Amino acid sequence: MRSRIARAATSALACCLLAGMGFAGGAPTAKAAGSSSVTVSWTGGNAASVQKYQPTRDSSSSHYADFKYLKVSVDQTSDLVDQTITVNVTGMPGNTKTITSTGGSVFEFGSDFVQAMQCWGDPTAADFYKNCQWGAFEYESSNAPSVLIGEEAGVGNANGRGTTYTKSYFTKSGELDVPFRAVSGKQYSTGATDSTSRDAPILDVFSAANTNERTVPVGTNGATSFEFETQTAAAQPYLGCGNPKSATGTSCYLVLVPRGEHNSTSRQYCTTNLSDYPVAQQGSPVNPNCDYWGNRIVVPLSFRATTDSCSAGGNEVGLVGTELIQGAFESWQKALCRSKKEAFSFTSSADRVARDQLVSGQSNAAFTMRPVTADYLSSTVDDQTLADRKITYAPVAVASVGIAFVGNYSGNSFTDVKLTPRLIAKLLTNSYEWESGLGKAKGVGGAGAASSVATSEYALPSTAWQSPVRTLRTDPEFIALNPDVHLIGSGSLVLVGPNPSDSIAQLWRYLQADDKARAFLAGDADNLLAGDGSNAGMTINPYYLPKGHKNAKVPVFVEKKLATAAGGTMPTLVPDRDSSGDYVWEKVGLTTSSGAALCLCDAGVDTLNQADQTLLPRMLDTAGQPRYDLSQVVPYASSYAAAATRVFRVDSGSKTTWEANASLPNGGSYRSDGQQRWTSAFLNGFTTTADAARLALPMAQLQVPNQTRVFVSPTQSAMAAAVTARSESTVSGFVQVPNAGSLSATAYPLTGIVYLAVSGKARDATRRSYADLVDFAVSDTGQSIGSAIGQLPEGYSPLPAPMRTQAKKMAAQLRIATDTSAATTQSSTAAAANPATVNSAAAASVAAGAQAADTPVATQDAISGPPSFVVGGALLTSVAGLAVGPYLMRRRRIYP
Amino acid sequence: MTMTARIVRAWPRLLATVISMAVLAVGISGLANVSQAVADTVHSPIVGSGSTWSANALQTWIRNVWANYQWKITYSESGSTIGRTDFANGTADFGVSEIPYAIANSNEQDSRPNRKYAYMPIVAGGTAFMYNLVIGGKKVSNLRLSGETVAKIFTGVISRWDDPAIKADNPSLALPSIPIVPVVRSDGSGATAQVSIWLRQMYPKYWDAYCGKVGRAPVNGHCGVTSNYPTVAGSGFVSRSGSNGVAGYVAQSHSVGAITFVEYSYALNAGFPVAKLLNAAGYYTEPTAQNVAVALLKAKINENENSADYLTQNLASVYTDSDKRSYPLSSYSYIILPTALEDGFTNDKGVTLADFGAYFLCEGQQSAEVLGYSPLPINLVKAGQKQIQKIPGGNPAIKGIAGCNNPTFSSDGSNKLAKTAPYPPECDKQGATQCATGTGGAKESTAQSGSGTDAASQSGTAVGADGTAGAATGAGVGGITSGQQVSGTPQSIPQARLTTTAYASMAAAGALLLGFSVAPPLLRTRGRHTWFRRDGWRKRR
Repeated sequence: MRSRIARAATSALACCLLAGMGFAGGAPTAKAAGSSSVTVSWTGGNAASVQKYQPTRDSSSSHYADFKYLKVSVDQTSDLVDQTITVNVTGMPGNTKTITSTGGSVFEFGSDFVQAMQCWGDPTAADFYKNCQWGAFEYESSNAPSVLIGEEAGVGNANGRGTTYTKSYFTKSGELDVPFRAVSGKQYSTGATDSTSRDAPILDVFSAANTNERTVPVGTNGATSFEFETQTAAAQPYLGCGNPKSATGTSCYLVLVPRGEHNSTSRQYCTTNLSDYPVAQQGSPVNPNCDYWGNRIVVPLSFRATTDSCSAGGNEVGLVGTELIQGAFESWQKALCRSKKEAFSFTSSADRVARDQLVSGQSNAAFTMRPVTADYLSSTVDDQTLADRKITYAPVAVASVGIAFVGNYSGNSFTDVKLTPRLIAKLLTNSYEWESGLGKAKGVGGAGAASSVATSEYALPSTAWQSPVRTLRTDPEFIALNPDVHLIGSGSLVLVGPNPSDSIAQLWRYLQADDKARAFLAGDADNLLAGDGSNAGMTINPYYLPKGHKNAKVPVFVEKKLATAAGGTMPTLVPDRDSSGDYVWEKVGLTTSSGAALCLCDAGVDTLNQADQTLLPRMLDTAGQPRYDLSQVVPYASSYAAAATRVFRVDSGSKTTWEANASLPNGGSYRSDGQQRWTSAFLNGFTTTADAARLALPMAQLQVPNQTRVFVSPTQSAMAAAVTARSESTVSGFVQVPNAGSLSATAYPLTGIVYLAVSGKARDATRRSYADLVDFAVSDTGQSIGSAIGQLPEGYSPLPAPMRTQAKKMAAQLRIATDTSAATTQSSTAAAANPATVNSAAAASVAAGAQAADTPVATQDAISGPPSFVVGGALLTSVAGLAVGPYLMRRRRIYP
Repeated sequence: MTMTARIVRAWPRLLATVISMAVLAVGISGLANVSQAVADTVHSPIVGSGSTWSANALQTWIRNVWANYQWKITYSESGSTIGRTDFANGTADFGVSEIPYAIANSNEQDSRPNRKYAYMPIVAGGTAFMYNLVIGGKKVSNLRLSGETVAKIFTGVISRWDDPAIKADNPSLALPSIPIVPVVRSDGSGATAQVSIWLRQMYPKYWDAYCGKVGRAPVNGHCGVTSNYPTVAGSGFVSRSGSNGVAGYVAQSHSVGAITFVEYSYALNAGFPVAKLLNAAGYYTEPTAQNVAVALLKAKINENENSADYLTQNLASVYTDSDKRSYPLSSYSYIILPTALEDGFTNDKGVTLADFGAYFLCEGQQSAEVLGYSPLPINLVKAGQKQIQKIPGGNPAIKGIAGCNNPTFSSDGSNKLAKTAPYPPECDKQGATQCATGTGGAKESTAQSGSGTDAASQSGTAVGADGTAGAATGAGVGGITSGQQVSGTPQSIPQARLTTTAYASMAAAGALLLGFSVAPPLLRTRGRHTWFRRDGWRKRR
């Protein structure tokens, strides 16, 4: 009996141990997609799940009058990753402030602002303010005295006012230290009360360079709208948002602190109505001595659970190619790393360079939107070299480019802007007065110019080119299309360059498909054609005319010393005159490299030019100051991603503010003109739809060529419509979106189909990796739009099913071993006629026997999981068995 | 025998069983904690600042490590001078610069920071002379320049393209009589510093005279090394900010006649040619990855670990290298690593920085060539890996050469890239013959226009083991030279970081397994003896 019990107990023990080794982990539960937007009213009456996080409002407080109408809405609050969400604020006070700058100009601003911070933890805790990431410095007012709004709203002593935002700002002694408490519980002091130490511990965890706090002015209508970049635990581990193992898990909060007109406490650093600063309140939102924190609105955010990433140290399979694939590639790259433990790396380069490198053998796989044929390479390649490469293609994504923008005025954020090809042509050619060199040169030169400078010696010839329209938003053509869009910003267009690109070539084809744009690019005024009667008669900037055009001339400038207001003289560029007093002109205009005239109206251009050579400023501020041209006013962005970032920050990259500094060569340097003020910002940028979507930037609707009032946006369906019209290139199986002129009115003209081109010279193992990539890219996950790892990001459009099948066939072909000579001859005979055939019979017949691609499994920890537990359990059981066995197997007394 | 008695007899075994189970339970949880231990390592985001010369490489690596490994790095490209300043005053966690602090013979004040640091090379490359020239309606792509000619151009001694010095370098070109527009950097630039070091050493006659022209006092007897290229007002020089700015200027169609110095990657991607530079062997070469690798075999690296300039480069012998393939203006770019917990640098930031550094010394170098740079050789990688050890908190996956997937490595320790670098064709030799093949991002050949001999049918040749050039093969005009890039097979092995508890538990488990397997047979022997002796049995009881 006892032995039976003992045996049973041991078995039960073993079983329980094994069962108890059940592994944690499994696929993270997928959250349901759908609208997760949230609106919170400051006064209350919100849904209980949201209201519980809001502090009680005191109707007798001086703040109540400011915020009683305040509402905040956030467009997405669940399934968050590292992305951008849009926040709309309405109902703030719409008061204004009047500021007189040192130059004597008077400016009126909305004087209120809001601060948005990402926080972790328990919003009902008394010291929740310690859990928020702050520290942004934004919106330097280049017109008002040089002050960053963030400086005024930072914790600690305001002695940092007027200085550049070095870390020393945090360490000057102030009245209070408000530490940041990380999700681990550790607190990081600002060092505000410690004047001895140089270090501010809070800079260990975030700084102005990587905080996501937004400090946003509110318009005179009491409203504003802005984008907020959410940070997962991967981007900001000290908040821990999304890390299931952190104290906050997948729950975090967007805390918005409105900054109005009043304060209930009158304390140092918590004051209001600063007369010479562009905001009404001073003081930090998280300073408990000020009473601003009590006005907060708390919006709950739910993040997707983060997963462990790939382990570093392994080899990566490298690919090159067009930047248009970057966003999709990053998503696929993340999924393949986690599921198949295959790491890839992507190097984006100029489109043509990637194809060149495929042919030269420097790379074995390139993403391209054009086939690898002589037309699309940098130099002549003989057919044999090309054939030897045995390049095969698989379509992997549909991407597009366009014009992203930020357009705000007085608290309103305009997200629907329509542009015609001619308007885009005007932007690309510096044809607006304020965007052109000659237009900028008109102004009475330099801050130090004497009034006598406005003399006939200084003035430009009356026959010199000028534009009757100052800027995009005052263009009658723009106003007619966008009657409800009221902006006061300049609306410059950030260009990418100097690299040529297939997408830029496509943009020019789009413009050239439109009669009105073509006429403008050829030199015609914009009010000559039917329906243009109310336009202003703008003509193109002469620098962009074809050389030899009768209007392609500009005044020649010579340097003369003219009188300054201070009484001295300064070198100044004045129009040159010949001996008879006539102005001297220089012939300008675009040419091909052969010197022939180049008309943007029909040339096969694949770059965005900066052709205006006017030098500015005309009168120098200090002797030795080098002059600049428009390429310093709107410098090239070196990539589409960089262009999108400039638009997001409303900073065109302009560096035209001269700072005299005798210790520097040339006596000084140009510094950045800073971000545009948010409530009057207007900036456009040529970028990819995916980059714009990543930063939640709206994109302009583009008019269909020659169809007035018919517009198309870069939506998924419009991109799909462009793909429907695909036509075959010179390479069988490689299709392209036709030029804009051949597309339907519902198709987005700047759509491109991205292929992966693989060289036959790649080794088998590498080819299998490429096959894995292609198979994943065209899998259901890889072609579904969403933000989960592996999905196609917003801004792309899914491939049509036949193209996915084509890609899978190509991937299957890649899995065939070719390292042996037998296989090589087989594939080479099939490919002899056309090295890029993807639909050949040979490919089809081997596809059937090819190894099926794996579908990615749900992601799991690389280390933990069933195996370790099972091993442990088995170990335990076996030792237990060995230990107990002799006891059970002991000799028993046998009674006779 | 009573139950109590049995238990008393068996208690050593029972006790051992209980203990072993307890130890194993700890061991199991130790295994469970393996993943926890990995997850507990916090990769704090880091911020870097500096060079635009190496920005193309850095931004590529930064995107890839974020996607694959979730390390968050932000890099701001504001030029080497600002990079050194930002690191010194603590606003950046790392800086990137072509030149070290307090470089010798500097025209500008640039003192070493109080902050503790170490240098580590990140990538090699060539400072290229990108130009825009048209002859007979066709873009020129095969321009050649001697170093002296370049010095004359950038110090204003030569101002027209048909100057006899340029003609002498280019016998097959009918150079136009148009002004040269030298384009230089307006911001504090490491590329400027590199060029000024080269000018000062190699062509002091012109460089010193230039200081006189721009009113700069000599430093230690010669015109100083500078990060701010001086220009004479009205001289026709143009200055632009950033590598992209100078490249952007030269790339405009109206900029015919312009020439600038910029990292090769920019010219390549802009689709523009670069001048072949005359080396000490009498050949004109362009800064391909291979030619740079060859040249840098002659770089003298400061190997004094106690020096503040440990691992920085002395390129004096690179400029004068007499290997036919060498590109004279080859150099490394450096990252400035923090080696102490100060100025906001933490162990968690060290985890990220060390991982990032270890990544780009090895795997990251695979993309150097396609980007337009040259990968680092093994001696610099080894030294760099030792520098990474100085980063507080760092614990990178790859600490040594084993598993380091750098494309220059070979089994005999030589630089594979340098060893297999093709020798230049004879038409690249200084003399009456000039190669027609294109360069940089302009691969199209240039037809002969001058009176010299064109060698359009010659192409690059493979190198033999003893360095002799193989027979020239007529591969056709403008053929793209091939260089096979070897890709490694992807291997990704998750690493477990085990705690001591886990190790102890596993050792105990092993010992117990062994013990319990062996013990019973040994113990049973005695029992058997007892068993078979009936009387004895009774006695034992």
